[in-house]
Amino acid sequence: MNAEPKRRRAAVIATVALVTASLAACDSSSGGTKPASRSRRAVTITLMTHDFFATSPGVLDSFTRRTGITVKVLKSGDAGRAVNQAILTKDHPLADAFYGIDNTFLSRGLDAGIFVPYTSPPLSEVPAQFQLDSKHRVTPVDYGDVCVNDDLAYFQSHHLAPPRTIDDLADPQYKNLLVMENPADSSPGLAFVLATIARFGPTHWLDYWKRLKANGLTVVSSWDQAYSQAFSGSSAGRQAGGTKPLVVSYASSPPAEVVGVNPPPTSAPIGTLLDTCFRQVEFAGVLRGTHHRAEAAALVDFMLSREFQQDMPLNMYVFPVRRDTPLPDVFVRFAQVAPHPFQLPPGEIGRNRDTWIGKWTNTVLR
Amino acid sequence: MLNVHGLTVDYGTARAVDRVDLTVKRGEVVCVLGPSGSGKSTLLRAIAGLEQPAAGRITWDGTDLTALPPHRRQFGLMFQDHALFPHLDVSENVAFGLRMKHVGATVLRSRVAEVLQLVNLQGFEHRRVNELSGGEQQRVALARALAPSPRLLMLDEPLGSLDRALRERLMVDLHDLFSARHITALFVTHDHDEAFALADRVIVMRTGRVEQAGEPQDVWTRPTTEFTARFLGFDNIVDAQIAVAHFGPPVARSAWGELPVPEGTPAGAARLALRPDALKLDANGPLCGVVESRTFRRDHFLLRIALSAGGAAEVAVAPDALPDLGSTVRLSVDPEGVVVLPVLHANGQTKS
Amino acid sequence: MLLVLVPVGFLGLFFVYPVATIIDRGLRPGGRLDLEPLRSVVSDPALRHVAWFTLWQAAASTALTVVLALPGAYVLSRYRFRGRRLVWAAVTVPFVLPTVVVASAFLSMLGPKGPLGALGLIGTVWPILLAHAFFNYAVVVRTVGGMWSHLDPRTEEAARVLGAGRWRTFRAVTLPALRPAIAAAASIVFLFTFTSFGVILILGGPRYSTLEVEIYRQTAELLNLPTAAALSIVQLAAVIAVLMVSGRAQRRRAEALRLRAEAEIVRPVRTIGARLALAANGAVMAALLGFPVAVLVERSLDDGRGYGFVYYRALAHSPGNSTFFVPPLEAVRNSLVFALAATAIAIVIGGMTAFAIARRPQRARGWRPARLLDTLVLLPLGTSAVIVGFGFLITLDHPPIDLRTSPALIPIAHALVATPFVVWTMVPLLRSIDPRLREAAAMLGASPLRVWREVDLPIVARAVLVAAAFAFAISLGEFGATVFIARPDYPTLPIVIYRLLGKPGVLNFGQAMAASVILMVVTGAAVFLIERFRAGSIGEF
Repeated sequence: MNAEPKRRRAAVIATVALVTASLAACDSSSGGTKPASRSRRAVTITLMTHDFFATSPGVLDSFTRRTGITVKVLKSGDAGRAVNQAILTKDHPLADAFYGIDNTFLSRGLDAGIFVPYTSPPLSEVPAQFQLDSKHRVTPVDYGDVCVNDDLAYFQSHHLAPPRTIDDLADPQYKNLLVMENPADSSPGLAFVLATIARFGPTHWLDYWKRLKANGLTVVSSWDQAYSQAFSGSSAGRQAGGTKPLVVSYASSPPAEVVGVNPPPTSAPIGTLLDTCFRQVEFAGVLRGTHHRAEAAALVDFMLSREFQQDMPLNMYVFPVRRDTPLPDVFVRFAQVAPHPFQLPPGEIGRNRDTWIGKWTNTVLR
Repeated sequence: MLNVHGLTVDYGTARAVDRVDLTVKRGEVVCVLGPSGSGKSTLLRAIAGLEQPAAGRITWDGTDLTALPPHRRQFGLMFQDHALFPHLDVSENVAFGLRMKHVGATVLRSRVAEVLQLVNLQGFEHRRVNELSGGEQQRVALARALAPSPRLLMLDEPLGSLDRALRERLMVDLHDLFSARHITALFVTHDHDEAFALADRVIVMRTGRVEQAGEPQDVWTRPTTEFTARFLGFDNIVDAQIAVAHFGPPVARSAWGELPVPEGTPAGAARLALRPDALKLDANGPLCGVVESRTFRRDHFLLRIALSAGGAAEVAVAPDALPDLGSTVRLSVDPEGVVVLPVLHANGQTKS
Repeated sequence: MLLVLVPVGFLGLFFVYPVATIIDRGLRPGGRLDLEPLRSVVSDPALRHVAWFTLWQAAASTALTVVLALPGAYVLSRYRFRGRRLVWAAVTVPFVLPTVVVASAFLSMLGPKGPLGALGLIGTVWPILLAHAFFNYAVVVRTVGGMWSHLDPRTEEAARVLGAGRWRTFRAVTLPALRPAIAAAASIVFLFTFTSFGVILILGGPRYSTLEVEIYRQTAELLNLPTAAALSIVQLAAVIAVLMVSGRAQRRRAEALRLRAEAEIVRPVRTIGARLALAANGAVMAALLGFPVAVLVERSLDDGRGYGFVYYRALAHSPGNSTFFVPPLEAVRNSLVFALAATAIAIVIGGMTAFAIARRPQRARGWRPARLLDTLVLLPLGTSAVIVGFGFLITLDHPPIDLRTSPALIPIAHALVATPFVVWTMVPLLRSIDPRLREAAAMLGASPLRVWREVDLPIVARAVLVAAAFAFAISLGEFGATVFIARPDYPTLPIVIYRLLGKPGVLNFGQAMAASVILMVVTGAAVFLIERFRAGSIGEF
C-alpha cells in the first residue's frame, strides 16, 4: 500500500544530439531481437516484474510477431516484493524471466541464485558502468537517479538560493524544508540513505543524519505521501496543501510534472539537486528453473532492443541504458542526469542493508 | 395404540422422567396432570422424539419408535406457547405439515380451509401470525398440529396462557373436537379442571414418576396418595387411627377429634384427606374452632378455622352464610367427602 | 459434520497450510528448529513497544468506533424516515475505500493547510483513531443495527414501566440483549485495527508502528523470514487471546431472544427527542464519514484551475498510451466479477460455519470442532496479508493445486477476509431462533435438512443478504491480500488506484481520486441493490 515504484527517475541527457547521431549510424538489424533459440514454436513465457512495468500498446506484440513468443506479464507488487517473491518461489518458479531488480536488491537476488547467466548480444551497446554483475546473471535495462527535488517557486519567492549538495541540506537556512521517505518502507528513501553513506562513509554517515534531524527533517512512509502530499512543488502536493519545498524523489520528476499539462509549460515547476543523487540501475534476467530458457533469453535481448529501450522513458520514467537510444522531447527538455551520482557496490548494500536501516531508524526516528 | 414402557429421561444428572409406563388407546384422550417440574412436559417431548430417553421403550401398535427421529413418528405436538413460524402467514403455518407429506396443491388447500374452519379461523388465511391474539395463535397452533392428521396428537399445556373465559370456551371446543373426530390425544396440564373436562384417563405425575392413574372420576374421588390428594384440592390432611366397631360405621380418632369415615374402611393407622366442602358449618357439629381468615373463591368463601382441639381446617362456605372473622363456629363432617389414605403404603411408594 | 468439514478444509488449505508453511520456513531455516528469533523478538524493547502500541491503539479505536456508532445503529434500526435505506447503504461506503486514499483524505483534511488543520492533530494518535472509526463505523452499525431492528421493544417497555429510566433501561435490558452483536462487531473492529497497516503508516508517520507494519517490513522488504515468523506468532497469539475473550462474551448470551418483524419495530420520527437523536447522529455521520468523502470528491474534481471532470475523462483515455493504462470499465468489471465470486465463496463457507457454530451450542460433547472453527474462521482477519500472500506462493505450487497464478486466488483471498463477516452476521440471529420452531417443524414431519431449509434459512435470509452485501463490499475494496498475490493482470479498482498513486504528476493523482470516487459509487450502488432484495423476500421478519 505504501510502497511506491522505484522507477521514476530519469535525467536529461546532455548529449542527446550526439546519441541520436550515433544512432543513425547504427545498423538497424543489430537490435538484438534475434532469439537465442533455434526453435520458433509458438510458446508463451511469463515475465515476472513489478507493478509499474508498462509499455506502449503493441510493443510486446511486435516481439511476438518477430519471435513467435507470447509474453504473459505477472505484476508482483513493488520492486522489493517482486524480487522477494521470485526468491521465495525459486524451487517452483512462477515465471521464466524477471525484470525490475535494481542495484539495491541485486545481491539478494544473486545470492539466492534465482538467475542463470546469459550474455545478451546487445550488451555491447551498454556502457560498462551499468554492468554490475560480471557473471552476467542479470542484464542492465534502464537506470534513474534518486535525487532531492526543489520547489522553484518557493525559493524564488523567499529569495533563498536552493541547496546544492547533501551537506547543504543540514544547513540551518534550510531548516524544516525537507521531507523524505522512510528507508524501511520505501526505495527512494533507502536510496537517499545510501547516497549519504556513499558520501560520508560507513563510520560518519550517522553524524550527518543527527544534524539533518536537528535541522527539522520530516520522514513519511511512502513516496506518494512525500511527493504528492507534503511537497509544495508538485501539483498534487500543492492541492493537498503540502508545505515542504524539498523532497527526496527522482530526477525524472520534473518531466512528470509537465506531461499531461495543458498547455505545455515552457519550464518545469521543480528542479533537481544533481549533487544529491543516488543511481539506481534496473536489471532483467533469466530465472533458474525455467523450461523456456532460450525464449526467456530472447525476451532479455528484446528489452535491450532499440524499440523497447525507446519506449521506456515515458512509460516508466526511467532512462534506457543503451547508448544509442533517442529520448522523448520532454525528457530532453526537462530531465537531467546526475553527472556524478553516488553509488555503492551491490554486494555491500546487500550485506549491510538491514543494519543500516536499523541504525538509521534508531538515530532518526527514535 | 401408544405404549410407553419404563421410560426414563435424564437432564444432565437430574432425572426428569423416571420409569414411566403409559398407554394411550386409539381414540382415547389421556391427560398427564402434575405441577410444574413434575416432568410431564419432558415425558411428552420424549414421546415426540425431541428428547433422547436414557432407558425405556416407546411403541405404536407394537412397532418400536424409540430410535425413530421425531419427523418420522407421525405424531403431532402443539407447543405450550405455540411456536408458530414467524416468517409464514396463518395458512402457510397450517399447510406446513401437509407440505412435508407432499400433499397435492388442491388437497392441501381444501384441507387447510377445513382445519381453519374447525378452529373457527376462516378468513385468517393471510394474516401474519405476529398480528394474532393469544387465543387466535392458540387455534392456529392447534390447526397446524391437526392438519396432517397425526396418529397421535400431543398438546403441551394447550390452554395454559389464555384467560379463564377463553380457556373455558376452548375447553368445550377441544372436547367436542376430540370426540367428534375420534382423535387420539395425549396432553399435559397442571390444571385439573382441564384434565377432568377433557380426558378419558388421567395420569398424575410427581417428580418424574407416575403417582396415580385412572379414570377421572376415580382419581378425583379417590386419590391414593397424599400428594395426589393435595394436588386435587384436598386441603385438609390429618393423621388418624381407624377403629372398626362391631356395629355402626367405623370411626377415626384424629387430632381433630373423632371423625366419621366411609363404610368398609379397614382398621389401623391412616391419614385422612378432606375436601374443604366435606366440612360444613353446623351448630351441632362435633368440631369447634375460631375463624382465622376468609378468602373469596369465585362461587364460595374459603375459611381457615383454628380448631380448639389443635390444628387448622380449610372450610368452604356459601357467601350467604359467611361467619365473622374471630367468631367461634362448629363444624360437622360429611363421611363421603373423607378419603382414607393408606399411610405406610403411600410413603413406601414415594420413597422407594 | 459436513458443515464443519468443508469450512475446515477450505481454511486449512487456503489459510492454515500457507501460513504454517511460511512460519515453519522462518523458524526452521536449515531444517532445524531455531527459536532464537522468537526470543529476540519478545525481548526486544523496541518491538515490545510496538506490540503495546498495536494493542492499545486497537482497543482505543474499537472503543471510539463503538461509542460513535451505537447511537447511529439505534437511529437507523428504530426510526423510519425518508432516505433511511440510502443512509444504511451509504454508511458502508467508507468501509471499502482503499486505506491509501482515505488516509490521504484525512491528511489533507487535518494537515496544516486543511480545513481542520487548526486542531493540530497531525502527529498525534488521533488521526489514526478517527480514520479507524471512519472505516469501521459501518461494521458496528450494520452488525448491531441488524440485531437491534428485530429486538422486541416490549422488553424495554416492561423495564420502563417497572420504573427504569431511559438510561437504566438501555443498560439493564437493551445492552445485554445486544451484547452478542456488539461483541461480534467490536471483535471485528478490533481485528481490523489490530492489523491496521496503511492508516498507521500514512497517518501515524514513521513514529508509530504496529506489528502488522513490522511484519510487512520484515517480509516484503527485507525477506527476513525468521523475524517475520516470530512476529506473526506474537500477532496470532494476541489475536487468538482476544477472540477467546470475545467468544465467551458472545456465548454467554446464546439464549433465544424474542425477535420481531422489523416492520413492527421501526417507528416514525415524532417526538423532539427523536428529532434530536436523528440530527445528532446525522451530524456525527456527516463529520466522521461525510467530510473525508467530500474532500476526496473535491480533489477528484479540482484540476488546479477550477472544478471539472478532467480526471474522469483522463481515466477513460490513456494519456501515455501505455499498457499501464487500465480502462476504468474493465477495472470495474474485474472488481465486480471477483466480488461476486468472493461473495459466493464467503456465503457458502461462512454460512456452513455459522450453522455449525449456532446449532446446539449447549451440547457439551461433539461440538469441539465447531468451537475450533469459530476461532479459525476469524484468524485471517488477524493475520498479515503479506504472510498469507507469500504463504500461497510457497505452498500452492504443486499440481493439481498450482493456483499461484490463477485468478481464482483473488476471490479466495477476499473470501478469507469476508467469511468472518458472514459468520458474525448470521450467528447471533441463528442463535436467537427459538429452538421450538425447529422442533415444531420436525413434529410436522420435516427432516433435519428440511427443517434447516424451511425454518433456519428463511429466518436468516435477511442476515444472509446483509452478510452478502458486506462480503461484496469487502471484496470490492479489498486491497491488502490482492497485492500480495502473484497474479496475471486482472487489476481491480483499488489496484488501479494504488498504481496511479505510485506515479508522479497531477494527472495520475487526480485520476486516483477519481477512481476512488468511482469505487465509492460502485460500492454504494451494489450494497443498495443487494439490500433492496430483501424487500421482496417473504422471509423478512
